[in-house]
Amino acid sequence: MSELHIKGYILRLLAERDALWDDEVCDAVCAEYGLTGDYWRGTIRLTLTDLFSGGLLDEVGTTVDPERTGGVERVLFKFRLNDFGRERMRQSGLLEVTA
Amino acid sequence: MVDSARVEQLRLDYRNRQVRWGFIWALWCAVLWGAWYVPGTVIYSEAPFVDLSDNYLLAAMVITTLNAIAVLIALFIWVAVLGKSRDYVRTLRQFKISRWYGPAGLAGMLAIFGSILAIAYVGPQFSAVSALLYPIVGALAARVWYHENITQRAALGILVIVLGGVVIFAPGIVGELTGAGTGGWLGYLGGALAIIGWGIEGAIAGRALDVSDPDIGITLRFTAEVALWIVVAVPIAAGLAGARFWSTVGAALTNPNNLLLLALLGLTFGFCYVAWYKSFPLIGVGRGQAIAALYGPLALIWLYIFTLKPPGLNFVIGAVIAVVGSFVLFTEKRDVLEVIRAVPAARSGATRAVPGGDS
Repeated sequence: MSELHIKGYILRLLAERDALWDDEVCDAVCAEYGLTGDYWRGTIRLTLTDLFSGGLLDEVGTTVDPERTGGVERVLFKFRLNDFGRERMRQSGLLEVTA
Repeated sequence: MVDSARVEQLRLDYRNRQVRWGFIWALWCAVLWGAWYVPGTVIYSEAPFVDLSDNYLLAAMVITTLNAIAVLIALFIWVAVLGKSRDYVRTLRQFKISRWYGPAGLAGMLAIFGSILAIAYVGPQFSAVSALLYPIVGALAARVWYHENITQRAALGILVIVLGGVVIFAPGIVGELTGAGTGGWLGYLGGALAIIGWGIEGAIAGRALDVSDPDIGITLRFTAEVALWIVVAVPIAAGLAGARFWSTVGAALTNPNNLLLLALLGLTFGFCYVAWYKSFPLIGVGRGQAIAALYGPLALIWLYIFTLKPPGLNFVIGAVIAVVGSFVLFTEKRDVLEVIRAVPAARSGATRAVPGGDS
């Protein structure tokens, strides 16, 4: 399990990849911290919303695919860490620590 | 197959919900913050504080310390219920992040202490509405430190709120200057502390919240405040007041009415802060603080319901002006609100994928 807090881990994940869909982030975080269920997936999506509206992430794609969202028609977002997000990670030591 | 128009519609719905929740959290903060002034006032009628009319400074110090501990207990329970206790420890260990909550806790501690002083020396209605000027400090600090957008409309709203603040402060200050006042200088100083403290806290918190969870962030901020009280302020107060400090703390904790009031203080303030911190990432620090400033008129209503004492006319007029200012901010165009910062990175060139497309 990562020593980082969940929001830090999400940022690290996005810093290491080009861009990720929110369901991919949910899968990765749940696997890393041993979490399951709608509550945690919703919490992780909310954290991504925080990061987007805070200007740390760019939204680079949207899609609706009920097969990936349990049959529910719900929008999925694809996010990429931007320069400001990377700068904020650098300032808070998140780029140096091991995920 | 979902067409691209439908995808865009669902996207807009999601973003509108995001902004709406930001405002809902800020309004919840206002309701609970306003309610906090009721136990914050009533506690002065309980022993031992009722006998400290010669030394409200000591009373305010003890009440603020116990208030911080009560809030921290409420927040620990909240974080545990959310299943985030382990994430609290993990965030605490990231010192480059958790250290930001130190100055946020210090600023917030001064603001709460100032408010409690203002309740004692001038009155709860003044204490509640005086701090209404805090959004301007927060918005300016957020602008200077991390380039948060202040649109013309937001600036106008903030200016209207300030005008309300002048109506609230001016009669009392003029009374003191002309010698007609009641010697409430410490109360007015407390009101000023609240404005500066809460404004700066919001701006610091906005930065720390970029990289940490709001529920955990607020708990860390109160952990810092309790630590500051215990390590710095309490030894100083005990040194200055001597045995009277400890006898006041002891007497406060053995009065069961105080324990009930402390539970109410902890619940109202703890959850008003939770709501406050949750609104910041969604609608921005300046707007989150401005909407939460509706706590002022709400506090007047709460205090009237519980004390049946009508507030001074200037407090009512000032509070109404502040409401108008807050609503100038509230009706801002939503596309501005979706992303709250002016950061150089391009975000408008987003490609809209459809099912079966790039994933």
